Order: sequence, then C-alpha cells, then structure tokens
Amino acid sequence: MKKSDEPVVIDTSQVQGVLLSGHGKLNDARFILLRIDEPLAAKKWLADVRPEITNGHHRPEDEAVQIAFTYAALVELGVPRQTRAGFSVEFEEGMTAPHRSFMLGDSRESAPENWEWGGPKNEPVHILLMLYGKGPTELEALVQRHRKLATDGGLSVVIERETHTLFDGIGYREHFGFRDGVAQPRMDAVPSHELAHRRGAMREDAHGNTIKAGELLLGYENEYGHYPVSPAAGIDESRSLPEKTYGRGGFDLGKNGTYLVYRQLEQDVYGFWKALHDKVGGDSKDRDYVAAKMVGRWPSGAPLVKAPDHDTPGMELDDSFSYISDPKTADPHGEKCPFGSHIRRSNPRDSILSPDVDRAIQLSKRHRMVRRARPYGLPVDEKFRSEEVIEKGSDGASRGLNFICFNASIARQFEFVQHTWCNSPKFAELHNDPDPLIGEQTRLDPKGGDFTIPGQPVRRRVTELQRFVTTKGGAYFFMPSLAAIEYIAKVRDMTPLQKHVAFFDTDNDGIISIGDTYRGHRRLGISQFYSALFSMIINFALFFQTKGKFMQIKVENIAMGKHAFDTGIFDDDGMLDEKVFDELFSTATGASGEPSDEDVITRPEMNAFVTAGGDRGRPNPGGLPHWFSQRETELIFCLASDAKATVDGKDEPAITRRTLKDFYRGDLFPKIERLLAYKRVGGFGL
Amino acid sequence: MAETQGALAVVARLKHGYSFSELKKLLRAVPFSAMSTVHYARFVVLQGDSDVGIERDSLVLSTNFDLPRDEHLTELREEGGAALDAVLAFCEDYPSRGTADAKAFERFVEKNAKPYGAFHIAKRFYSVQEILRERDLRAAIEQHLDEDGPWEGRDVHAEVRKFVASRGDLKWAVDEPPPTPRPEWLEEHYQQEKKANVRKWGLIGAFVVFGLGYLRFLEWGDKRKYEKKETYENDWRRRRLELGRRRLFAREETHLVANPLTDLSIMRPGKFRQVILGGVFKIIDDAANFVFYKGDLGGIPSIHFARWVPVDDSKRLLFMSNYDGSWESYLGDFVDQQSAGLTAVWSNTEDFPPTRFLTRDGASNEQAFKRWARDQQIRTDVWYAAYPDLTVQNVIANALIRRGVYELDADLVEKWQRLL
Repeated sequence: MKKSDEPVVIDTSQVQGVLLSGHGKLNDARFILLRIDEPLAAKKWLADVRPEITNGHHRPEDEAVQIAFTYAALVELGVPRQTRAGFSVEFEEGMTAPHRSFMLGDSRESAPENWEWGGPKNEPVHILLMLYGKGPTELEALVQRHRKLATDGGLSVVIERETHTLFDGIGYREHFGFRDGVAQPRMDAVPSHELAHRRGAMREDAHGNTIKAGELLLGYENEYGHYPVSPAAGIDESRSLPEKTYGRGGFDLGKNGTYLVYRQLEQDVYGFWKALHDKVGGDSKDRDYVAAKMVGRWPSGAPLVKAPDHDTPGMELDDSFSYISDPKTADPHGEKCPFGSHIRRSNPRDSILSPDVDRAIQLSKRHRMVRRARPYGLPVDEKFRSEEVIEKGSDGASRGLNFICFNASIARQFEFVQHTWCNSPKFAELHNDPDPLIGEQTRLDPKGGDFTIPGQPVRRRVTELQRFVTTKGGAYFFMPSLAAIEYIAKVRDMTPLQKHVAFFDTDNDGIISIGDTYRGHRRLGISQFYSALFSMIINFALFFQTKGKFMQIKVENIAMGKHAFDTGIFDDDGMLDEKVFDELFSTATGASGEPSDEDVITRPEMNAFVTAGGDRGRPNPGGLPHWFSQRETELIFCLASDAKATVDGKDEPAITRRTLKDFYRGDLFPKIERLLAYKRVGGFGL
Repeated sequence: MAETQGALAVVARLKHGYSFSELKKLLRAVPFSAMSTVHYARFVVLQGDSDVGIERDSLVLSTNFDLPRDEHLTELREEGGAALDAVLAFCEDYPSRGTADAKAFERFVEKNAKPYGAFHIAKRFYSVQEILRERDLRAAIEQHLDEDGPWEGRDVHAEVRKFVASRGDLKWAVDEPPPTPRPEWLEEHYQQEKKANVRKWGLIGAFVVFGLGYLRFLEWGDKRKYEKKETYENDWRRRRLELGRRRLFAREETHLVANPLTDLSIMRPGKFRQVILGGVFKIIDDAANFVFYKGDLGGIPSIHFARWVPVDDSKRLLFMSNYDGSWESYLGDFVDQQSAGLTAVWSNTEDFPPTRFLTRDGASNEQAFKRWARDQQIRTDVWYAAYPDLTVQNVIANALIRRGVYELDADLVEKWQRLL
C-alpha cells in the first residue's frame, strides 16, 4: 500500500506532450491522417520519426509532433493479437459501429456514411500525425518535411485537417463565440521533471477538480483504485517497455499512453444564432441571454453561477466554482446555470449526480477527460459578435471544431458523457432536453428538443431546437508512450517457434509456467495424466535453456532452446526455411520429384527426419535428448496424424507434408484446438 | 394500501427439437400493446446447459403488471388469444385448446410461474393508464405555459388549474382524486412497516454473522478458482466472443429511453449458497419495499422494475430489469451506488469477481464486474414497454404535477412550480 503523502509520479519523458499541455503557444497546427500501404516501410518510418515526437518534459517553443494509432494500424503493423486483446473493446470496434453511432448521436447528416473521413465509405485511417508550429510558415515547413517522410515511408495521406486557435488576447474561443477549454481536470500526480521542487502529493483543490492519474493515463490507479486494463506484450524486441507491475505480467504497452478521441464537428454559426434570434422574437439582448444560459458561461467565459444576469469582465478563465457547496455560487434549482446547459451537464461537479455533495463530486470525477480541441476555418466575425453574424448571413464556409479528448476508458468517460449526459433528453430529470449545443435534438421528438431555463414563478422554455453541430469525421486512437512507439516500430510477427509456444502462453505474459503447459496440452485434447507428464518434461527441459525461473519457459528466448527436434530448418531469424524443410522431407521419405502437399511421412521416417539435422542442425547427440525427441515424435503422430501409409503390408499412421509444415510454422496447435472446439470431441486417444 | 403491481414469470420447458427461428417469428406477434395492465413484458429463451445438467431449453414470458393478478391473467388470455397460443404451443404440456380453455390456461400459467427472489418497483401505485394520461396532462400544461407567457407576477397554480378545468379532455385531473397516496402518508406507512420488519432482519443478521467464517472459507476457494480462470482474460479467443456478444446486445440497447437487461447466471453449488441467497433476497426485497419506495433503489433512480428469479430448480439465476439510459450508465450505477447488495446476490453465482465477507470487493471492481455482467447477459428476444418515452423520474414528476392540480398546500406551491 502506498502512503498517502507519497506522490504519484508521472514519467513525463514518456508521456506525449499534448496530453499535459495543449501547445497553445503553437498557434497553427495540422492534423494529418495517414493510411499504411507498406507495413515494413511504415515501421522504419516510425523508428525514424520517433525522436521527433514531443514528450511532456518541456513545453515546446517552436514546433511539436504527436502521433496516435487506430486499432487497424496496430493490426497492419503486426502487433500480435494476444497483445491487441488488451486494448479496450470500444477502441477495437471503432467510432462507427452502428450502436456506437446511436449512442454518440451520429444520425441523419451526422451519420458516418456522410463523413469526410473515418466513415465506412472513406479510405481507412490508420495513423494520426499532429504537427504544431509557431506560425503558418514554420508549420508549412514542418508539414512538408513530414508529408515527404510519410509518403516515402510506405504511407499515404488520407486527409489533412488545418487547425488554429481562436485567441482573443485572454484565452481561446470556439466559433459560436464562447470561451472553450476552460474546465480541465488536474491529475493528482507530479510530473517527473518537477519532482525536485515539490514535496508531498498534489493537494486536492476546493472544487474537486483533481482526479487520479489512471483516469487519463494507462498504467496508473484510477478513481476506483484499480488499474485500467492495459495491453501487455509478451515479447518486446525493442527492450524499451517497462514490466507490468499489476494484473497479468508481461511488458506494459499501455503505460503512459492513453486513448484519444477525435471528432470533426462542423458548426453552422449563422444557423445557430439566426434560429435563436427567431425563437426569442428578434430581441437581440434576450437572444444573447438565452445563448449564455444554453452554454452555462457568457461568451467571455464568465460562469453563470458567478455572473447570472450579465457578462462580467475579469472572470474569463474562472473555473473555481461549484453548484451546491459554495454558498456564494449555490444554484440548487438551476436558476442561475440551468441543469440543461452544456457546461453543467457535461461536468455536473457537486450537483445532480447525488444529493450528497461529496458523493456527487466523487461520481463526477469518474467521467472527466482532458480536452485538446482546436477550431478550424475562419471566424465569421473576429470579435465574435452575434449581431454581426446574423447581419452577414450565411457564408457557406466550412468551420468548426477538431474535438480531441484524452481518457483511459472511452466507454466510461467520453462515450458516457456524450450519451448519458449530453445526448440524453432525460438528463437531470428533464423531459425532452438534449444538450442545446452539441446534443442530438431529434432523439425523442422529431420536431426537436427543448431547453428549459428554471425561474420564478415558473420556468421558461425554448422549444423545437435544431442541431447546428454536425459530425463530419472521427475515429478512436491510441496515443502510445514514447517507449510504446519504439515497441510498435520494432514489433515483429512472432517466429514459428514463438507462435508454437505462444499457444501455451494464454495470459500473454511471456512466461509459460508448468500450469500453462498443462492447460495447453489439455486444450489439445490430451488426457490429464499425459498432460501432467509432458508439461513436467517440457518445462524441465526448457526452463534453463530459455533463462527462465525454475520450471518457467521464457517465450522471448525460445530460440535458445532449440533442440534436436528443430532439425535446423529455421533460419537465423527463426523463420521456417521451406527449402531446407522440403529437402529434408524428401530425403527422409525417399520421395523424388516435385514436393507435393499430399506426400506423407511415417514414424520411422520422421525419426530420420529429426536426426538428419539439416544444414545448420547439430548432430544427433544420442542418449537422453534423443529419447525425448523420439517421444515428441510420438506425440506429434498422436495429435496430428492425418494420413495412412502402407509399410510392409500394414497400415501405419502418417503425416502429410502440409500438416508437418503447419507444425513447423507454428500454426498447427491453434488449428487442432479449433477443430476440437468445433467437433467437441474428447481427445486423440492419449 | 395494498401493493398495486405484480410480476409474472412463466418459465415453461420447450418441446424437444423445436425450431427457434419459427418460434422467434411468432414471439413478435403477441399483442402486448393491447393489454391495458402491462407496464413491461418480454420473451426470453433460456438455453440448456449440459454442464450443470440442464438439457432442455425453456421459454420465459415475463410481465410487470397492475394488480389484481386475476385481471391481468384474464387480459393476457383474452388479448393474447391465438398469437399467444401459437407461441406457448411450443412448450410442453400446453393445453390443446389454449387460451380458449380458461381453466386449463390458468393451470398452465400457475404451474410454470416462478416466484421472484427479490423485486423492485419504482412507481408503486401508478397504473399504466394513470401514467399515460398524466403524461398527456403534463404535455398540455407545458404547452399552455409556453403559449400564454410571460408569467411574471401571475398566480401560475390558479391559472393552470383553471386551464385544466376548462379542457374537457383534462377535466378529470381536477375532479378525480389522484390514486397515489400523499407523500406524508407514504412516509408514515413505511416507517411502521420498517419497524415490523426489524426483528426479522435481526434474525437474518445473526445467521449471516454465524455463517461468515464458513463463507470466508468458501470465498477464498472461489477466488483461487477465479484467478485460475482469469488466466484466459487477456485472451484473444475470449475477446472475439466478447465482441460478438457486444454487437448482439448493442442492437437491443438502442431504445431511446428505457432498455431491457436479462442476465442468466449459474448458481454456485452447495446448499449453503442457496440459504445465503435466500437471506439476501429477503433483505433486498424488504429494502425495496420499505426503504426504497420513492422511486430509487439504493440511489439508483433509473430502474422501473427489476427482479431476480431462480430458475431450473435454483440451478440458475435469472435477472430481468427495465432501466433508463445506457448499459454503461446502468452498470456504472451498480458499481458506484449498489455494489454491496449486488455482490451479496451475484457472488453466489459462478465466475463472479472475488469477494470478501459477502458484500466487499466483487461488483466494486468496475472493470471485472462489467466484463462479468456482459458474460452473463442473454438476448431479450422480445421486449415491450407501455410508455417507452418516460423515465422513472418523469413518471413521478408527472404524478406530482397532477396531484398539485387537484390539491396543493400553500407552502408547496413553489416546489410544484419547479416541476413544470
């Protein structure tokens, strides 16, 4: 148990910088979405680009480069499926699965079929490369260099998204004209480079804005006191990943990485203001008032609970408020900041979730995320005046927000907030009130949603609202740590030998205990007695050769455990040398002519095959090892015999060339298991 | 005031070699919407599981209905008619004349009806018909408020009452007293009930303390078993299954407001577990009856009806619930608000995450519990909701609005106006 005053330390040299700071000083940015054409070249590219990736150690002054991967990218790059199984289900399914579109409100014009990128009709998106520059020229140079690197590196550009900040001298705005990105949670962790100046843990602030690091990063404890499920690698060729210290073992691929949600949200600024203008009967003051009620802040950023009646300067970046516990800002009935307003429903703080203030804060902390959104397109009016917007009319230009957020659980954080709080017309005991800004208004009533402004003597209601924010693209990404990038750049598909033994390593921790071997044999349909016997023999024979602990085989080092049975037909990389295999097979069986898949080998011939040794094989040492290899031959024949051969007039079990090749490629055991599962038969006689 | 709502779960064994695809087509044809007493209804097929000695499949017909039970059964029989016959004919021992033979039909239902272990009702005293017309009442009042504003300085309550009285289709709200008891009465009534039950709980509590030592021993063993199985957790084979299941259920969970959840778990072996579960059910059922009568169940405000029903000679445990919102939010509420109670129930079933002293750990282990819950989930083949656009909180608010229209104490006027 960790002492409470001992700070949680985050290794900022491993975390990608954009998680810790939005690179606000770097005004211009380009988000490049890439597709992998040639995985091998792409890995080389990744290794080359890795030193340029910005970590969280310093705030970059001139440029920054960040990178994230979709699930499909990890498949393309050859991350083994055992390892991929540790990623979250929603990340694997992606943002466009039909039930997900329902949750997120991506229907009608927001439906993935109509997207510009990321949808089922668009090119697949694999990698998100985020490039930030101090100014347009610096960015352009950076973009050109990286575009060339990528296209030379086996990748092609799917789409490039231009972005910038809408800085008004105080902070950042979005296109409707409101302050954006003010409320960000803090992590209760100390960045490693600040460790020297700090004593004790991070202190909880007054408004419950400090959350556990495991809500935002994999590899740390979350608000439930558990570690988020994190993918583990059994083998790490790059030798850069840390060992997993919790859950099942292996190397922690997730640590210091997190999930990135990217949604391109197009904003119809004129439509929004005009519709509101008409709804309030053309009263411009009332229109701005209702709009502020919808947001929960005035355009300047002043929160409504502190400035309920009119915009007040000096509170632009004010985020230190609560809805219930602080008597100065208390608003239990939503008469200052309506329950249905965007900021109250996407972060209810100490209200709504529970009548008990502390409990409500505790619950709301489980649904926070860090947002790093950036607008695109030019503002309609530089000073964000609504009357100017209405006067100018629709200009048809494309503008909106590149919504980006980070969270350790997409389902519990981003999707939950979007679905259960923002899109739900029933939030906070309301009846038909989706989020007035981003919610899907037609969810319950095709005529549109309502917005209720509580007041005395009775509420005021704006009805039949439409949505002026359209989803134009999006995907779920994994933003790896710098070590994990190195791992991905070096990851290889497993060698046949590794595949062969990985069959036994179901928990994917890179170690095969005697229990793993036993269960593996049982899955092949071998009886308990023989499974126990074989697992003892195998683990004993291999544990010291693979430098494992007593009776534990290390998958990584399995190549060191080559024994007579390998017959030298694996090349130095551990891949099957098919030519040597065919030669040996033909020699052992005495077959001549073209090798055919249907050639068979019998047991005595198999022993000859094994002892022949091949080019690089060692001579048969005889004695005990020889006896073992003969037993192994028997085992293979019991499991995989799929043909008969006539020897001296008797039928003898035999194995076809195809099956034996499968065995040497490492594909045989999974095949047998599938066959067994399919037939539900009980074993092969052993 | 007596109970006002009941639950029916007919679990009938399906005939040997029945065709599931045929059955499925017929299930949809049963006209629940014609039955005025039905809040929620569902058909679920429980597949046999030879590992625990259940060879045959069963069909579950489950309804949440307005009492009296006889009337509901009559309506089920009369309105269900030929469509219901066609479905139940797949079951063993279904009377040949079906719904036409009232006696035989009722005998069949009563023979196969399984009692619940624990049952939660969010909106007791609210019948389907009242819920529906209170919904219309609220909508009309809201519209009037929108059209007749602004309201500054006006007596909202008096004017709304006048408006309702002036409308022929809404006049009932002024004339008829609401069937729901006054909130103060509820408070008093359940305080008494609670007292009457304290002694019983004391006995159960004593037994639980007595059994804890043995229970801890069992839990220790179960934990080891769980950890052994957990070896396969990060396994891509399991992952593929999980993805498939998620897609399957996700299609059912795209209802706008309320959604169904059906879980089927295998009971852990041993009489001891059965006894524990019996005690836990008793406590939860009493708590649901006498403590959580205001709409929430232990802080979860979104459950219309939920119940556990032991099936297959208590070899398996069926959980059926109608909840508002998403699966993720519902399960999140389980973890955040009620992990102890749920752990006490489900820790008696297989593969549940490890527990300590019956109520600790278990469901509070968010990721493990959610994964387990998905594993237990089965298809809800047909689901019917009488008011699919209303949450529990909406129904309660609508009823309070109606009560306020009928009669309203002066000190409650402000509170009533906030409901609008």
